[in-house]
Amino acid sequence: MVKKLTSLLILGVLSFFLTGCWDQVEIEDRGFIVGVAMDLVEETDDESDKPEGKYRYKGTYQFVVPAGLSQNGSGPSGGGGSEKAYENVSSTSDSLLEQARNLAVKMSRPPFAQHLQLLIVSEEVAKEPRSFRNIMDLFIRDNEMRRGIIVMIAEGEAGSILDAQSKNESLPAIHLSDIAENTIKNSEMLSKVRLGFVHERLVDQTSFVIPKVTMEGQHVNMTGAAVFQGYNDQMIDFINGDTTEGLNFITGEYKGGLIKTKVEDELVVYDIRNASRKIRVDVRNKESIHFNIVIETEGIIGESFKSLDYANPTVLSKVEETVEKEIKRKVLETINTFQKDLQVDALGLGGYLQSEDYKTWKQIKQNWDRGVNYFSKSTIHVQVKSIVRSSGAVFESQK
Amino acid sequence: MKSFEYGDEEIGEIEIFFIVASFMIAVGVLTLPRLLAESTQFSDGWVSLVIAGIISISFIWVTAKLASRFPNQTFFTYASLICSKPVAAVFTIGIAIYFVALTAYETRVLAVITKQYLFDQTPLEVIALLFLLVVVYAVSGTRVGVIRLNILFLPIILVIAVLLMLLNIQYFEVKNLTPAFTTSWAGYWKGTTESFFSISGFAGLLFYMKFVNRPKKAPKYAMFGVCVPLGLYLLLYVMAIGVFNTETTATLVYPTVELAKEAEIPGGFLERFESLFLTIWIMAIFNTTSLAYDVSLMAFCSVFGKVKKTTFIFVLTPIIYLVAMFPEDVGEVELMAKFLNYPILIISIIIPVTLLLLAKLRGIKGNG
Repeated sequence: MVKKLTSLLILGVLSFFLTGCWDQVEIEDRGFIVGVAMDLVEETDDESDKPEGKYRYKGTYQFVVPAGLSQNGSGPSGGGGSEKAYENVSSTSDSLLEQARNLAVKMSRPPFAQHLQLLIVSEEVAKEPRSFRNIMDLFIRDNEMRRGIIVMIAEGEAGSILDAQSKNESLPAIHLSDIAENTIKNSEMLSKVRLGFVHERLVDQTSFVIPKVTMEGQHVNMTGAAVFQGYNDQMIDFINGDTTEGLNFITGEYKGGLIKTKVEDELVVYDIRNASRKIRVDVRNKESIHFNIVIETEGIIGESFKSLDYANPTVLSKVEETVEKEIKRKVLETINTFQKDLQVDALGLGGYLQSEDYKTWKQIKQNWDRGVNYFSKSTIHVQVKSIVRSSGAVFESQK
Repeated sequence: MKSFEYGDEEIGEIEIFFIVASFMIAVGVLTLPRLLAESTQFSDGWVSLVIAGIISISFIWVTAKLASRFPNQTFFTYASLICSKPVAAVFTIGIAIYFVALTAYETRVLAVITKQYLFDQTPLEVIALLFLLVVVYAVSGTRVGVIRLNILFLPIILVIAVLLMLLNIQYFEVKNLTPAFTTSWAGYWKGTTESFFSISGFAGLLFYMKFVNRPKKAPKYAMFGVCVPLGLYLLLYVMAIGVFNTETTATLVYPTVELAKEAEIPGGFLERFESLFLTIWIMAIFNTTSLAYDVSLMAFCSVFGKVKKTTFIFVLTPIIYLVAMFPEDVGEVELMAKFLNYPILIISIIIPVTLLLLAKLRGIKGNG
């Protein structure tokens, strides 16, 4: 009898453990956030007694509306359905966590950020001291966030970019992060920057660039980049598409693009299929640091307004020469922008110096791209070698 | 009539290889890259790790050699032969208490980490209790059963670890590894001590050797066993440095979990690799914990021969649970880990070395 009672008791206790998971949340009850945009609202009142951050931010959170998604899936008409697949909700606070928690008052489905894809920070926020790194903190610290979140800097208001329409993608956040993949076709945009990368730069204090995104009417434009000063993580300025292209050549991130040249006063377009670069450091003393950048490109003739016989090696080498000259011009211009105008080493050259000559690096680390600014004083040589692999389907399209 | 081949209480040298390897793969998987990055510069931590590995391998050899001198005898029996019964009893009970404390520590760490990453709302106490109950269930059965579970789990753990690294290769930057050899001697030394505690401390071998059917071969396989965690830790460390760089790795609480969070299977098919990785990591912790508990039970049973194993389980389990729940915050759990490090020096270095030396000097041998 006692034995029976104890076994009954054990079974009873066990049933408490078997009822299910404490943490179970049905998928219908989750509010999936796919994109976040951060804008600056105002400076907070310094006189106030309440513990507050220095700035108040407006966060725009993009929630997925599954009903809208399924509608789009069934019909070929795409986003033309009656219901949008997303809903943007904003919340204002000096603390990002408070913003996110405040969303729970407004949404029936509490926010869930494990599938967050995109974080857009406005130019205004990034240009205020300490603001950018303070915003990044929650995204780096929180367990729900992954390090693969794509980070972009918005020119103008960030929140409105989360409304960018597209017929193909029903979610603007996905639309934007897909555009960031297109570097293989266009070299005037930067390769996508992941949150993990930003964290690493915040810790090691090197200067860096983050892709820029702008609204142009209904469409977004992702050429150009925002340059950040390494030691205080403050944004200095935007660089345009041309400078970004030169930067891509130097950092080795060049995935594909085109170079327009003039051969005998007519336009010839060189379509780059493959580019690589080698950087060598030559340190005599800390006052004279030389970098040798050798860029090699492979490509084809993409377009030729001049009728040239591309079967002829002399013609080819002539074209190659003009291409090399053009690439060199672009790269030197970029180097000039960074050395003289911005005076920050977002080219990553400091890293090469660190690997090659650690002793010198340790001495000048604090004055690399600030203070004495050895970066601006260093000499950078550029060599370009371009190869035309083919002229496309024809040698000459016209006589 | 021959009984079922694997049903007997007897293990081969391959099993020794597996239990040594799976005992050592534990919490260090998650934290070791950070510990090394804190004390060494760039990718120099591998030097510390290899030195620690060599030290660990040599002492596991001493341990196995000592135990293989006395085939089919318990540690308590041959320790009594070498240095009187009371001293042997102190040694054995000391080892048993250490492994009880280790069981409690592993239970707590598992609860802390799974709560942080997987079960946000579940109380810590419940996670720890459930885990401990599973461990108790495992050790209540046959000893060989626990060992077979270890053999079953280890390949799964290794496959997931390798997958984790493959998924991160695209973010690996060779530039982060250089310049080489810039660390100070003090840094190397600190790194060596930190990593030594992650790949050593398996005095349990002193007890498991009793069941080995060919003890002569066992020392070699025990040494191979250490190479598995050593290789795994080396790869994870280099991967973390290559993906995050040293300064960032030093700031991450669990760099390996962050590696898992960095990994993305292309096409958005599986975005949360870290949940899979942590699930498998729980299996690794289960291996370590069940072996640790089993060793302490063996140690207690060998000293108090008349008491049944289940009695010890009923007495020890509540104690383990209370010890596990004793630290109030993560800082105190870290402190607990520090306290557990020092006895490793005694039980896996001093005890085996002195006993082996004494046995050689006095010419004491088992009947093998």
